Amino acid sequence: MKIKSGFILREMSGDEQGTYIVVAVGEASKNLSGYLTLNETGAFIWKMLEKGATEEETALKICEEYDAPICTVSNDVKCVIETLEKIGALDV
Amino acid sequence: MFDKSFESVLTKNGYVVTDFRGTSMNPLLKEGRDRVFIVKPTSKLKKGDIALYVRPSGGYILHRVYKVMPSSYAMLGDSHFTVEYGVPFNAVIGVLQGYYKGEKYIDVNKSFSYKVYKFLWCSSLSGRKFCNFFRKIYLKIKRIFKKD
Repeated sequence: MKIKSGFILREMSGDEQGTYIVVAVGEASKNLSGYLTLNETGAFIWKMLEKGATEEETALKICEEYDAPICTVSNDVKCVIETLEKIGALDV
Repeated sequence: MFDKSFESVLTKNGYVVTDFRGTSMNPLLKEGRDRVFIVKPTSKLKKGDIALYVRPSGGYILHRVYKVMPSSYAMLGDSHFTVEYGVPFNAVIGVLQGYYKGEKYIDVNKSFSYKVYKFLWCSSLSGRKFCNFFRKIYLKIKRIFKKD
């Protein structure tokens, strides 16, 4: 699983710091004409997927980083992945 | 230039990303290549800022502030030569904070190359008008000789 090229993650500045947006450029903008907002955890998942991590690896890494229970984290990761699949941002 | 759906997003979220359409901001922004990041303005705009405003006809326009008048703005697209006077302050609904040139994001408040471009563009209208005048004459002459 990997993020397709043409999808760019950027952290907002100023009052919106800590919020991230995903914007599609070029061909990818046919799938996402607006933007997707992610929080810090969502951005963390994005960065893991960008490196080519699997769903399980991503969930385990978040558990390590945030000291959170695996069942909650797994659901969150699944939810983000489903959203990314919907906008065509993932190469599965 | 833009469709109406993004105005509600801009009002609700305070920012919006959308495709740039048209040719009025050439060479800075190009249709089909660039996407613009627009935020709600928090104060009165300054000369050189790029404003998103609504015309009385309902059209959404993204042009540069050419001059700040006592009760309105004078606007000018980067590829235009005629200034649009009398754009009321309350017609401005957004201001350009950055744009995606391909995969590269350019923050208009931070990018040095953008600041240089803005300085040169804002201070060269007379020069550009002059060049355009001779360009038109050249094209006319070229057309006449082509006919012959």
